[in-house]
Amino acid sequence: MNRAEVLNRNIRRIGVLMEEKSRFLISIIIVAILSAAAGAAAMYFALGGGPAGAAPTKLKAAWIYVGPIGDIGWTYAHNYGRLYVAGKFSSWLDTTYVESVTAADFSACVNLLIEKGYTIIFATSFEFLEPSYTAALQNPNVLFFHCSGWDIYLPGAQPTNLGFYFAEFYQLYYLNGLMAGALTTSGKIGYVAAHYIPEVVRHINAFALGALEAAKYLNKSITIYVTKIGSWYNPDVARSLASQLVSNYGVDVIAFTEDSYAIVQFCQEQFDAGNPVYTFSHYSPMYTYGPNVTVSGQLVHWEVIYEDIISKVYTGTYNKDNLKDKVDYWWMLREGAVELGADFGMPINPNFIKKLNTTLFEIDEKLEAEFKAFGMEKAIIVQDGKKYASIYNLVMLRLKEMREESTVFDPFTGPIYDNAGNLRVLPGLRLNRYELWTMDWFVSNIINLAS
Amino acid sequence: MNNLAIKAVGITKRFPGVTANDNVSFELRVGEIHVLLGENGAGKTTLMNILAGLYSKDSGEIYVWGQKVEIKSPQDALKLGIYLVPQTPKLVRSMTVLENVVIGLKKAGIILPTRKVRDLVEGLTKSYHIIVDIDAPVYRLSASEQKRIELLKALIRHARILIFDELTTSLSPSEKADLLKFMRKFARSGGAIIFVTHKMHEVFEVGDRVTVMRNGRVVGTFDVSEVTPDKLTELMFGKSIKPESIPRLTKPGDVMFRIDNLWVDLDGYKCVRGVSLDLHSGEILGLAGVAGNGQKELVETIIGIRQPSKGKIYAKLNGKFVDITDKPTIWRLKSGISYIPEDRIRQGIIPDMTVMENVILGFRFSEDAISGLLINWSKIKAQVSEIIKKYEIATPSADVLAKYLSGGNIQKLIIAREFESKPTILIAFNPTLGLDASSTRYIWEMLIEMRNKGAAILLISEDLDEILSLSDRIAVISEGEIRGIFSREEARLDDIGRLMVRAK
Amino acid sequence: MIRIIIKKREKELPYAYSSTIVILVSIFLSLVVLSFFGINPMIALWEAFVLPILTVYGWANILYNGLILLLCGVGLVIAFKAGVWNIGAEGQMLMGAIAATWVSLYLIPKAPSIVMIPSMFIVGFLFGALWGFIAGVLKAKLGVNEVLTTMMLNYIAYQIVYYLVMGPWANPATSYPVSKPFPEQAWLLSVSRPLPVSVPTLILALTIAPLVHLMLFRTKLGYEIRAIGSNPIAARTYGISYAKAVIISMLLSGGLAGLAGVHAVAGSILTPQLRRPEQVSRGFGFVAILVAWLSGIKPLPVIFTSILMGLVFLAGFAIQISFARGIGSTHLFTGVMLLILSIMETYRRYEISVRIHALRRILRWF
Repeated sequence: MNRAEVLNRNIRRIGVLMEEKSRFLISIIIVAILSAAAGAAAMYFALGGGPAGAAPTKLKAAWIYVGPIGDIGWTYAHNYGRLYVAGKFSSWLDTTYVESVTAADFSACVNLLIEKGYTIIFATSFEFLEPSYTAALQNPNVLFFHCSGWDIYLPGAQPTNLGFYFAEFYQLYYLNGLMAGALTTSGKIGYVAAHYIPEVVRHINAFALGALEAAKYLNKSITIYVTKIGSWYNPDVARSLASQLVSNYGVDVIAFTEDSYAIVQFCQEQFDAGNPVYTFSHYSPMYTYGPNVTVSGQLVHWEVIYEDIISKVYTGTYNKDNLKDKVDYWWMLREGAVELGADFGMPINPNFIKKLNTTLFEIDEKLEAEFKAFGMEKAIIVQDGKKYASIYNLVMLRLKEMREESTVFDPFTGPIYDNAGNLRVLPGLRLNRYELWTMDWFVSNIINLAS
Repeated sequence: MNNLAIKAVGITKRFPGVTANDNVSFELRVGEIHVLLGENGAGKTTLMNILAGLYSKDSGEIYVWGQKVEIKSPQDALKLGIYLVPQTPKLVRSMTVLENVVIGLKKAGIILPTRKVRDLVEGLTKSYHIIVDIDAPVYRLSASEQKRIELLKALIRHARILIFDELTTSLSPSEKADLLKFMRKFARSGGAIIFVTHKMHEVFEVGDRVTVMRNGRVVGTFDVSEVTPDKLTELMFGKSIKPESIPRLTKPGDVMFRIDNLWVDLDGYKCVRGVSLDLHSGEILGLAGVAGNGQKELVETIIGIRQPSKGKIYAKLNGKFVDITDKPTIWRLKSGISYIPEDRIRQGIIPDMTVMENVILGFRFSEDAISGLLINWSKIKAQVSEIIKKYEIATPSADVLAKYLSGGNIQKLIIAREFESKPTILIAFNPTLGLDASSTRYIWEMLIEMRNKGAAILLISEDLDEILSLSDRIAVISEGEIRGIFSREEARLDDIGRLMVRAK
Repeated sequence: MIRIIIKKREKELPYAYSSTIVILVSIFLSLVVLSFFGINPMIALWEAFVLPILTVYGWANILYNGLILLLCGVGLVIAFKAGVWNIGAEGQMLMGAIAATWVSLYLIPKAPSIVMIPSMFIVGFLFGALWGFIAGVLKAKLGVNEVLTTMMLNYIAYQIVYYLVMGPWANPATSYPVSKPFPEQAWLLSVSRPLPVSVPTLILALTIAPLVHLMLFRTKLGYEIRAIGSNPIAARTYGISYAKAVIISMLLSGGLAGLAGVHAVAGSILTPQLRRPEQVSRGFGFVAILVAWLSGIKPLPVIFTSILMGLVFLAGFAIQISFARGIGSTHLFTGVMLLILSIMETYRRYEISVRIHALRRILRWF
């Protein structure tokens, strides 16, 4: 009899034994598990993994992500920020992360993190707002930073150890809108949205306001067709909605809020087929997926925010008693948390600079003064006694204005009418943050296809 | 030694709790048909499975064509030219005969089947007189035609030693004769055949030599010409048993069951064509026929799992004659119609349930224990344990899964369940198919006893011996029609055989 | 030369044996894989499987997830016993969640807990049962493959929940796709205070598992379900209705998943409210299939395996945290477990021996 047979017979014997004396065997197995656990415990403490051996000097920060870090979108960008600070502050900072966490598992993860000595927790999904609030109340010594939340959404009073941060895009959407308005020949622009939540509605409106301003200057009539997917990530639906916008509504520029590059790819295919449709990078650089069609876009730099928060926790500026008052980041161009670009360092795709540079419009005295104030006198072209500027230079001007310390320009400045004809923003007034966070109406030149 | 195809020495194989082969030695000569005779459980199948590479032996030595070999898999066996013809053909039903023959064959090529292979198979059918349409899909073929495919499979793989495991159980006399012709030709042209059976008469029909096994041991090997059936019977069973004359009832009673012009369609094909039969109390009506002539469909219609396209079925239940054509199966069972199905493992039992769970199948046994909210298994177990004793079912306990029982004991289990429901009408479909002599005898006695108690029994069987030994009247079915009904006295084997195979 | 010899066993290995092997071997192999990434397996074992159960929050999470798996798993056992491959626990759960929302917010919003909670579970059962019933009837009466129908019904349930939380049941107080919060009488954790686990669900689940055991092994109905699942031909030959067994088993299977759905929303540590479907069912309807198989398709072992699976999920998070290895750690455990399970399923029935001749020859040298 060979070894295999012996082994087989033994296994069979165990099987028979199991059936007859399963209780006995199960108890042996339980004993085995327990002794393995005891061994693990011994080893754990022997190797200094236990509480006594923990190094107390380092700051420990953890990120809880809603999606996988490989999503090339939201979670990827946050994780990039984590790796940036982990590298930069490696001498005094330890980081870790948990990915693909649902709201229901959030508090279990928080408690595991606290167990492991983490005292700074970044919660990077709106859905984590409620469990973050609960966790902050239950763990007053741990610092919680919630991304995209705000106190108005909390079920109770904001704990002092819970802060908020967000990198906001609406300024960039406005600039994209300006370019879209200049580039469209059909006068029809599309927007594929994920959900109609205030954040997305705000972005759609900013984009529409930019297009509206370009239309005003260029004497065009521009309509924005908006539709929604019903999901943050669904490349197939995104693509089919984009395709419908092009074939049913004659749209030749598409902006979108969806965590994939499906629409950029679609537009590039349209371009290759001789029917160019232009679009913008969303969230991360998508220029490489559509070099002929990606005009510009909105890019994020979470690392800027994370660096600021972490270093201020390190210096003691932020502590468990003042996050409520001090940490409510609403960072945009001025702080460098967001960037205009088809790719990092490429605000406008070179393929479009010439076209945008030659799209001229007559400027009034107010604009002339703004150009001069920002050192852009050269942008003013005088012809037959009239003064002109290009859309390209208008974009550059607005970019400079919005980077200013004191906000010289804001897209949401009245008068703004909604698409039902109501005056939503009085002339000369700007929307405040509350109004921006609860926006549930569309600007006048928008047609909502998904209502 | 040179004229030995196989020489097995001292083969021992143990299973948990049983020694299936105990120091068995066996010789197969080139050119002979060697019958391996023994009851079910005597160790024949175990020995054959060892030779075919399906089991590994615990000890002993095997020589094939004079060489010492280790047969570890069916592939090994095939390389040595050993081919086990299975009891039930293992075929892909949706494929054609040719495709089934060449399946898994290396030389068949990637695109099946090539012209060359086709010619080869056709040549084999001609030279061995195997009559089968090689382009027909297997599901259209009768059981005996399907068995011929296995022969082709063996031939194309250059098998030189064929092992037939209980092959002749459902062949008509003429088909049997064809097969015998094939076997002789195969053996005489340099091959050798082992023929496993538990039927005495087959020893003398086909065998050159015979080896008798009992309880895992070889009890003797003889030239067939030098041995008598009595001698072999004695060796098989350990003592001489004489077939008792079976007492018969001269007068059948009232009509208990009537089939009136019954037609059954199966996928548009009329399997049963206008069958009318009367069944009296206290009689066994034998329905003789070659398998696949509508018996299965007829029986399934009688017990209500198939609907007739035309015709009526009546039964006398509790003194009243009622039309049961549209009654559900469970109603028929509970009203006193019992059924012993042909395919005992697929239809008769639930293999993954215990013996006692199988006994209550149909909910006629131990009804008081089932009627409550919860089934009272301890009560049932006590009653089943008695049944196990009464019907001599060999099982360690009532809790054993039915699939671990031998074929004969499974059949006893079914018989026990169906008889214990005290039926007035019993449908027995091939009740002894593939069983050993003592089990067969036991079941026959049970059927006779049942009849003598006044039950009306419809015995559908492919085994003419069985029909002739048990029936009070004999009906012959062919192509779904009743070709003739004989009383026991006027029934002659050759008449019945002719009607069975008569085509219209 | 390598030879693999596969032979049918004369007697199958018992499930208690094979499942224990599956669990131990998969944990062992997962730790071996982790050690390739420089993680000390003993420390990983401690941090993954011991640390989480030392905290109240660990248990809260294990039991919350485990009870979902327990109810779904016991339900699936019934369907699997009948030979029906219900992979629609996900959708059936969502129907239960819809029922809980409807009952607590719209049907009897003012009712006290003593009325509210049983009503939610009863209606949840009915809604889930309806979803199972549809697939059951289609299979029993029209022969439609249940794998396809239950899968399709999952998608339909997903879309219904999306429609409800974004449309008619959307919470006007927030623009996020959620319903209004349930009234506090419907909060399972609130009535269970101070225990961190939903006591109503715990009682329900621990009652249902033995009840299903009784139903399957001690009643005529259970006998019929098992008979149809094990050998439909014989069962029908002896008068057992195929349609009845299939439909009732799917009805019960769906109903129990519906109960899990009620627990998933009303027993959550978060504010009980209907959320996006991904946040409600979270793929646990599929994990429950693994749980049912690990339990050898028997209801009582599900109590153990479902809680164990709850621990495995938490262990996955724990590994992520300790070693920053990502969700792959969770997938590693469940994936390896699935792999070993399918190998053991074959090994239970067949003897498999691998013989490496060259190796043996080499070994003989030493």
